[in-house]
Amino acid sequence: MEDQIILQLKGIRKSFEETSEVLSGIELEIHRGEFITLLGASGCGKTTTLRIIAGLETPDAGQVILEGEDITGLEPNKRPVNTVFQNYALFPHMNVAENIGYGLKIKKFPKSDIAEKVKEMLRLVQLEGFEKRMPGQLSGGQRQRVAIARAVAGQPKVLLLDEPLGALDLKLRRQMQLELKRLQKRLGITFVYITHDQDEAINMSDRIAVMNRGVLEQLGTPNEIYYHPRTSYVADFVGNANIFREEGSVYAVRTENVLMNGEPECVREASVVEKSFAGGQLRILFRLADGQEVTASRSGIDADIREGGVCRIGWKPEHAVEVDVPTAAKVCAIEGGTADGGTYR
Amino acid sequence: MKSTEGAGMKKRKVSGGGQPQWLLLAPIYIFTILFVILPFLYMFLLSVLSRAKVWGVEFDFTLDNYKRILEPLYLSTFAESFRLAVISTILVALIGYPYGYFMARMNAVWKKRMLLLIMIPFWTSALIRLYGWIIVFRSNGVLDKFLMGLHITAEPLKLLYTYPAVVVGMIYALLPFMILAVYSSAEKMDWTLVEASRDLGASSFRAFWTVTFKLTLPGLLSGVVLTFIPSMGLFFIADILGGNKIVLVGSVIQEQITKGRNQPFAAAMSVVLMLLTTLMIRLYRRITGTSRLEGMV
Repeated sequence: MEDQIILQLKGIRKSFEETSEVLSGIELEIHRGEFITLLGASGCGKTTTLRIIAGLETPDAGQVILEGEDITGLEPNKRPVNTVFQNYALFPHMNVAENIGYGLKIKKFPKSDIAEKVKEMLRLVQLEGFEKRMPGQLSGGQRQRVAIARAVAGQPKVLLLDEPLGALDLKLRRQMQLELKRLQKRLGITFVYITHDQDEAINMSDRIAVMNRGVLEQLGTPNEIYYHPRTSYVADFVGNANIFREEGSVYAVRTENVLMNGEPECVREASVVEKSFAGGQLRILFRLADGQEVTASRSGIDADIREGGVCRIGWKPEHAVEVDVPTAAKVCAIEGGTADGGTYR
Repeated sequence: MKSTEGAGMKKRKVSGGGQPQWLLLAPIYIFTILFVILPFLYMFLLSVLSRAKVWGVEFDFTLDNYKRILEPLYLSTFAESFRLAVISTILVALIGYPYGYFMARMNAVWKKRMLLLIMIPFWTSALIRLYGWIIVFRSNGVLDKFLMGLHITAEPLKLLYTYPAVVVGMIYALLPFMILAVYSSAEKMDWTLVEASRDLGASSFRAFWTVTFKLTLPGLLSGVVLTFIPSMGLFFIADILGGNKIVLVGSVIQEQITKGRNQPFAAAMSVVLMLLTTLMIRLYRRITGTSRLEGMV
């Protein structure tokens, strides 16, 4: 089990001048060869975490441990870790081949080896014949591929990807998600991926670490995160959930699990506040008698529900997931809740 | 396929603006013709005419003016000017590049302060500032008093009217142009490129050399151009701080016009000076390969 862990973050803290703490004690263990995603809204500290792993930022406290070795104080060029930057950061004065071969040239590989490796990398990202192009002559998707090729050319132990698909349009993003996942499997390199897009995280990751305001809220497989959110933040951020506070407990009910009219569980009376249709889904906003708002989602257009109308809603008891459980009770809740357990810290 | 695409694009360019392109560019052409090409043609014409007996020129075609430049006296003047320009430019680059580079890396408040420090001297006449240097350099002047007060030197250095004094004056006059040129290109630098370079295994020096320096080279080049061209012609610095010991082409041209009343010869020297300067700049660009980098950042 121990040698399965390639990278370990221990109690990482970081604050910048004039701002509150960006990271308040991050604990994370990353397994060899896994695709792990740091998911969170902007400003949650995910990029800072990545930069600390890369060595571009020094933590105020805590340790970064790579294969059992403390690399916290090591300069970025001494770390067997490479980054795919958000804006790609391709060297504009070098052509594609020079960009990809840059790291190898610095490591003093012989010229013929570099040329061969560059060719191999270009084949890997399907950009054969682009050696002599300058970055300025490439499209966004092509630049993206070059950035990935450049980062993996030196065979890093861990590849860090900082929202690499953020600048691409939706269609291309979908395609690149699949390609990245395929690439990761083929290379067997550990990927640490950053995104604020929950679909992307669920699509690609072996495990997801949801971050919020410098704290790791939950770490687990996409399944665990989606079906057994531990906190109301996770429940709301990953998929959309309604949060209920009743008798000192907090429950989360996913919008698609909210039932309407006819089902035996529909015991609450609610008025229809708003109806909207987007992305193939109908979303209906209800208001309960106590003022609590509840969102329900359905595929397709439901003509029966009218704005201003009244209807009965409810949910099955197993769809109400208890979240924000105080620490003492947490362990039981998790053990009862996870299918393959043991991955939480 | 490709050719039809190209043709389509061309067509769009012409018809797209609504107005023909030359109309938009006309002011630049008019400006260039009036203030660059016509004066140059006038000077070139002057340089192949003969000096009149009393004042002015005679329309008598000759190449004697150019022949006269080949006399050892004038050749050595050219060599002297050239040497001073090269030395000044190198020193200005060595001081100005780091200044411009670090200024670009400062935060907004300090950038403003540093810019102000560069701008303040421009509020006074360059000539008056040069006379200030006389006070600094002269025997028992500010510099001597300072050094002797600190017991670094025992007696006055007698720096005024020496070559180093002239070089200092040149650096002082030209440094702002270099700083601003380097700063403007360093300011545009995307510093994540340096991070990418470090991430890929480059030491901080290697990252600077392969990325930052290469990308700020266009700024350094324009700094060199802005320094080298004026330093070939700046004669009043050498006159004021160098006494009459250092004679530059600029001084000779000025003397030929005011005292020698030989406009054609002065024009010929000016033409040669310009050609020499252009040649140097082209050579420099060829050597550093910066022409490839221009217009890229």
